[in-house]
Amino acid sequence: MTGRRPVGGDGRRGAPKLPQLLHGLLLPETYRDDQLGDLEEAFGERQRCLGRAAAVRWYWRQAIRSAAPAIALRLRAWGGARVHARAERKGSTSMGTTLQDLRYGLRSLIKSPGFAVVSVVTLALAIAVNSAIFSLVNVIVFSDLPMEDPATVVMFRANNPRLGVEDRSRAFSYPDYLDFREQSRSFEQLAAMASDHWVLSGSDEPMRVDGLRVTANFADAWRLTAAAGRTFLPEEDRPGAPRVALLSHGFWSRHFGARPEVIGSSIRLDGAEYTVVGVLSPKMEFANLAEIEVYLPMALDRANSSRDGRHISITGRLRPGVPVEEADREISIIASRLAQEYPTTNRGWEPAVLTARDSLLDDESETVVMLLVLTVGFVLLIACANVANMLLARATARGREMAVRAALGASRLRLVRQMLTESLVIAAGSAAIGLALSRALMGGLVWITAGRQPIFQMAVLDENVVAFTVVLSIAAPLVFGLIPAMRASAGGVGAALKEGGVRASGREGNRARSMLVGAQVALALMLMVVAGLMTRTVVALQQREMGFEPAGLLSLRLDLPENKYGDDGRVRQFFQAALDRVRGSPAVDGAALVSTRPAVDYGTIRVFEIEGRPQPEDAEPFTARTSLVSIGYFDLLRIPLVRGRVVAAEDTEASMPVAVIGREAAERYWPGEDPVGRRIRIGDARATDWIRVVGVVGDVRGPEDTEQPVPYVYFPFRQRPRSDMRLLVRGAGDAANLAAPVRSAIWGVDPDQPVDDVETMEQVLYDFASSSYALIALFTAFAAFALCMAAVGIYGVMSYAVSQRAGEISIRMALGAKAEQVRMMILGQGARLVVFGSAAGLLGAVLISRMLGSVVFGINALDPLTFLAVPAVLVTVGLLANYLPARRATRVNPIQALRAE
Amino acid sequence: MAKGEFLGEFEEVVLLALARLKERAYGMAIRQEIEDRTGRDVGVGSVYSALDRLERKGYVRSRVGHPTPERGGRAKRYYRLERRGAVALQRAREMHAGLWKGLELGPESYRR
Repeated sequence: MTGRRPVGGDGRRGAPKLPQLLHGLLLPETYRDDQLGDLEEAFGERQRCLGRAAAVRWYWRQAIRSAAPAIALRLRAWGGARVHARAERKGSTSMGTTLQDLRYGLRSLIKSPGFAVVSVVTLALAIAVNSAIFSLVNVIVFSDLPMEDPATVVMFRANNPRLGVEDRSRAFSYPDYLDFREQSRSFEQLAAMASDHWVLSGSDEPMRVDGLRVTANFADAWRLTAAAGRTFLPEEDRPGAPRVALLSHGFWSRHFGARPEVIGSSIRLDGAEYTVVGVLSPKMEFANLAEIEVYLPMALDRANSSRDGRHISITGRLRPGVPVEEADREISIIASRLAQEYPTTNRGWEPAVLTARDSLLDDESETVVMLLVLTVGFVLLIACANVANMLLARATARGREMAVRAALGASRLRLVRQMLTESLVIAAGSAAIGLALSRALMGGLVWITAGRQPIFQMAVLDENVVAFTVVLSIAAPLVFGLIPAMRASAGGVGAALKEGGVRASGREGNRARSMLVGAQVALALMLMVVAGLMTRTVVALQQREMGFEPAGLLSLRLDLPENKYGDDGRVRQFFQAALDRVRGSPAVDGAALVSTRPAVDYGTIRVFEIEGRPQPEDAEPFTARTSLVSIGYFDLLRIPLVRGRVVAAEDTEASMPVAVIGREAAERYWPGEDPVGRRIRIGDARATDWIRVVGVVGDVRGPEDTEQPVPYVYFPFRQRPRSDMRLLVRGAGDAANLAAPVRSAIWGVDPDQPVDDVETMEQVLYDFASSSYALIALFTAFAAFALCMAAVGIYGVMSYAVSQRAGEISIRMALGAKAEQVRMMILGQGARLVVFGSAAGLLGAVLISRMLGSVVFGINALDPLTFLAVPAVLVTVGLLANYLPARRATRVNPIQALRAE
Repeated sequence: MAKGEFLGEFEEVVLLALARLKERAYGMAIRQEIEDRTGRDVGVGSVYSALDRLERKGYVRSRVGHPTPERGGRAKRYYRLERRGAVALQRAREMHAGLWKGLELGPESYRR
């Protein structure tokens, strides 16, 4: 097997959990341990001689084949108990009765297929969304973290409110890490990681591999052991140490066929030889670590790194007995000390220490997940209300049947149990369909997010999800079945059997149903408000000014291997040649290079100085998002020039360093002044030269979800060359068609150069926003479901009310009431439901919108449009659902209705 | 003799396998014995179902053994042949013998 293994799938050697769980559920208590034990034992033997895959298949086959005998065993046990009990003259026991109820319930459901199908489908949909959302929660709460004893593993996050940086992990500088490590006492180990990538060459075609640079104590901090070979030794992260590498299990399997002799051999990364010393456990392929293929030691060299380069993440292991809050406090104190010592680079940055599990989700995502859980809970409640409604209607209709059974000696308890068993049968059917649907739903989410959100792919139907669904399908019938069951069995024998008695209890039943429908309307309204606010937020975010024209642009990544392009001259040369070639291609209208694409790339935020303006001690430093651009970039993206000039051919490595700034940077840092001609200096260790601002261009959207425009500073690529750039190309037709000519133009310069991430800019933007789209798709689907359920509920209750009042209506009409008046009377009755429900729902929605405050952008959480439109839609739909029965009311044939009385 | 007192075909197979295994007879071993001797791949569930029936008839008796780690800490259930079981097997064998006596299934005995 060379495919990627599921997370944590190989660590356990035990029998597969799912069939074990399912089979265990079917087996009667008496034989459960014996049979599962037998299977486990035989499974172990098979696994040893035939391999895991064959053994798992065998286990599944055994479990499936044994299902029928297991049920037979169970039935026999009940039968035996019943015989036994009868012998003791105690009447039938619970299990025997259950079997009877089950048979009876199934039969009565088969007799009314319409009811059965509608209720099963309704519940199945609700269970499906609950299981799907639970499988997300499951990943977050219960998934195996890759590290040992994850409770004492912490991750660092950084906040910088002024820069709009929230909860970012890759936001520490190397010197900061060393200071934290030396000055803190809360941690057993503090390790650093930084993502990196290299070109792997040697055997096959050159390929780009994604990797992580880690300090040598990384494996110790997470208490990782190698799946093969060893992890890094303490001295291997010092400068000048021999070059060593670790492989991820997946990469080792995929690329090296899991051959053991790879360990000890050498691989060529960016042209340098590295000895593979080990393979990490497959558990490491977790969340965003899943894409990491190679791990290299991070060379520790304080002198060579600046505090400004914030690109590493920090993780650690707490000392035994130290709570995470204490560690957090200690780190904050050290950070404020650092901010005093190095104000230009460190002021404004606030670190936070979180446990590994908490760090899986930031606060904002946590709110969204909570909202989702709440929403699907509502959806389930609404579905339950609908089924309860149908059951109530049935209960009323079956009043006489129940009365007859009561007359024949059935106790009330017995009748309630009978009805609950029926509900359970409905729920069981729904759970099975719901599980299948939730799988499809997760597949849909992976599709909507184009596979960019690992959490959706990690969410699988494991035993936790199955168990959750089983619990739901047992709990739901208690919610929706109990009231109808109680009502159906109430009322005594005489009343129900009497002519017209059904009608009396029917009216009472209708009151309960009206309450349920009112509740449905309220819940639906809340869900619709949530969906409305989320949609408005996403629309507001998407409608923010782009500041550039993405249509028709193709984006490619060119990342030059360091060994081949070691010095700036060669980098410049390659990119210049590539640009010339690409521009020369007939399909291409224009091309440019950029390091940080607008709207999607985070790039680097840098601190800078302004000449003649000393940095005040207590004020925030001047910061901006920086990007390197080639000549023609602003024209290509149609970013307007506001004043001065853009990057031009005269800006070479030999000429004076220049910068072009965005309008926001100009207005924020030079308010009321002309920045053109002023000089700035980048606050890093190498900064010596002053850089002259030569122009101001229009603002472009930043990658963050903020309403404020982001200050940008652009430098000419020629003056600060970099080996990892994006090439943007515009052509006449569809941007996707440019890929082939552009690739061949680049390979004309260097046939070994990997060309990655070839996508149209519109695709890039879509992928970037895909999780938001998935969210609004979810919320909108839930709201639509809730609205339909509420409409069906209203329709059901009003139709029933009309049929109940047929006699009254015919008398009214016989006495001269006009059709219109009758219609209004019925509409009025229904409108009360809708209005009271909506009022209650609005109240709830206001409460929920407070929770939404942190995720809503660009609009008020009490957005008037949403809060007006949603009730309007709901009331319209509600009245429509009400109108049909009202119209039918006037078509009542008075003679017939009165005869029936 | 009531109908229930005859052994079913599968019951007979299980009972024979159990008798052969003596004190080592438990679900999975019986399943394996049947597979080894007859080439029939049977589900462990069916074996337990048959054993349950046989125990109800008093042909076999079970006791629970000690849990072992390779069974995920679960106990084994061992089965022993009871006297009534042995009698039933013996009777089945005699019945077979009586029915087979003097019978040859040559080519003349069935339709071609």
